[in-house]
Amino acid sequence: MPRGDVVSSVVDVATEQRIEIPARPGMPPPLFMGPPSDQDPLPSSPNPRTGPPVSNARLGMLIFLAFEGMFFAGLIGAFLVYRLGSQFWPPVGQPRLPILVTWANTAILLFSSYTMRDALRAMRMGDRDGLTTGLSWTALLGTTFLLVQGSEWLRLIRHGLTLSAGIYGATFYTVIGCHGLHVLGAVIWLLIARFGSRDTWCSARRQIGVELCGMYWYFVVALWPVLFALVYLS
Amino acid sequence: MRYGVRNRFLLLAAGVVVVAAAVGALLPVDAHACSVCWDLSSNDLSSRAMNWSILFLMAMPFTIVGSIGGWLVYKYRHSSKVERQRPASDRPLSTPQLIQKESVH
Repeated sequence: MPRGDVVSSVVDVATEQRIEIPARPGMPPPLFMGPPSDQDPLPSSPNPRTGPPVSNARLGMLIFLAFEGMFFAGLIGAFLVYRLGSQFWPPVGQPRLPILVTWANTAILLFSSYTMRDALRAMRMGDRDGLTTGLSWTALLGTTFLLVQGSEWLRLIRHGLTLSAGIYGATFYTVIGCHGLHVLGAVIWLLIARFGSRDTWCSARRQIGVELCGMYWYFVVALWPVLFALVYLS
Repeated sequence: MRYGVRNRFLLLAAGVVVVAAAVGALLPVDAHACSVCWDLSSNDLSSRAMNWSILFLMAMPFTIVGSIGGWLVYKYRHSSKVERQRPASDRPLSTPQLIQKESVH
């Protein structure tokens, strides 16, 4: 490369102007490459070799998931008070919850974490079709989970288990309903990631978005067996 | 002047005594540490349920923060281990070395 060629550029923080750095023999590339562009490999880690092992976006998502975990811990704590404080559960006269269908629904949701893992793996390997296929399957399985749960809720309401029927119905619909809302939000996020990945799928911002969506999906999937065991099996 | 200061001090002391007496008279005989710690001496279902729920909620913050902290420590240790295993020529130079090289040139 002839001397004087521009090999990289940095951004002056004070003036926000991009300064071009000419090539010098023996000079290593600069550590800080300026604010991340849309094509950077990692948006919050300008240089993957020297950047933090956990990006800021992931750290933020972890803090959000910690908050979500404490939110569900509060709901579970309230459920434990009523469940352990009752001699008969479900109370006399209340319908039993559908265990068998919910077992199948649990399997569907757990399998969706496998398809999500495939989608994330495909994205890291640069496989665009694998990414869209994985996201589509995950969204489809999540939607199936919600539809099955919705149909079961309708059946329970017809049998007299409503939100105002007593403490049993109130705790059931609050705990399971909150989880269902989270799954719905995750499915919407999945669909946004799925259809947004068509054009700019290789951009850094899009990829970190899919990564965060995957973290959120894993959270709602991991939470479900706990709630299922507590509410349905206990 | 000194007499005025002494009067004010006596007035303040009398006020403190009156307020303390009023608080003592208004307080119930039995006071609980918290509003939900009722009937913990008995061994009925409600007390046990409340105890388990409190224990669960006490443990959850430590569990969540411990899990996330453990994962972060693992990620940092893993990345530094990978960094050490790479050949020295492939490692990026740190900022002080860069400055030193620039000054040599």
